[in-house]
Amino acid sequence: MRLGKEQAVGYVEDTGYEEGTGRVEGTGRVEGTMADSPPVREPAIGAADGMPPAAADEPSLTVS
Amino acid sequence: MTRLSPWSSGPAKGEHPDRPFTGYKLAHAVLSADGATAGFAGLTLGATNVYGTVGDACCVWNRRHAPPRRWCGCGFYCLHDLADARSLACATENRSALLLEVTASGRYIRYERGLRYSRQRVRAILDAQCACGRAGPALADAGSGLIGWRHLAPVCDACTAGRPALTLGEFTARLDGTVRVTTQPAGTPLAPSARKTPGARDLPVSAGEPPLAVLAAEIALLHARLDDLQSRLDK
Repeated sequence: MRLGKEQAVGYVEDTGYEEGTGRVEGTGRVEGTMADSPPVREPAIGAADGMPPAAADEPSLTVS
Repeated sequence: MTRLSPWSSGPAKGEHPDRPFTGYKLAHAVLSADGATAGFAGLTLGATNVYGTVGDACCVWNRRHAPPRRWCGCGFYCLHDLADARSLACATENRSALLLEVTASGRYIRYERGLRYSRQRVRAILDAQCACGRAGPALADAGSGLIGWRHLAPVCDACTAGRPALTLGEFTARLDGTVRVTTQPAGTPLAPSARKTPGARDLPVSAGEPPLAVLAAEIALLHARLDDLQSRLDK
């Protein structure tokens, strides 16, 4: 399983806002904000355990 | 919160959503050596870093840059969809992990199916599965750990079998913030076995008796027969 292609970078504050369900608006898909950077390799889930930094552009999902 | 410094390796312009993201991830439950403090540990690269309810990512490779850096693997990770996180939990090495709902914030890189980000708040424990396949409402010593921390693994009532364990509520009470426990049976598609135990008519006559009682009765009968035989020999 892979995280897929990079779509954007950004910064967001933790406003502490939560709806009644405990789910915060913004599910990780922000509309119309594709990154203006060239595509990079997809991060792989669980693929980079023990890899050196030079190869860690395909990191594990389970980091931290 | 203080705004973090500009991102040297990323694009100059980035997103600035007005609300943080909800994500789903797996983590091991850990308990401090004295049992007073609970936390979470990552599964692979972050396996040696224990974090609490709120945490800031640090790079295990190079602490001179702030995660997440594009050409490094650092930062917290989460998936957008709960189903994807549950899929990840099926892997053998992830079976004893908790499925968490988190708020992802700070600097982030957004991918198709997930995020890599710098700040995290754990909001809820959604799934905890015992190795036997039942829901695991308690956490017992997993037999592994880090210096100062024991890994805990979810266990069901049957598998606890007298082992010391913490309920999920007792575990979250030891965290440094509020985390809901909303474990759902839907965490596994497997239903309890439909096989019935044998009916009374299918069992032998003695099936209702404890095995030791049946054995004691057999021994008593044997002794009686021996006594009878001895008396006949004496005559």
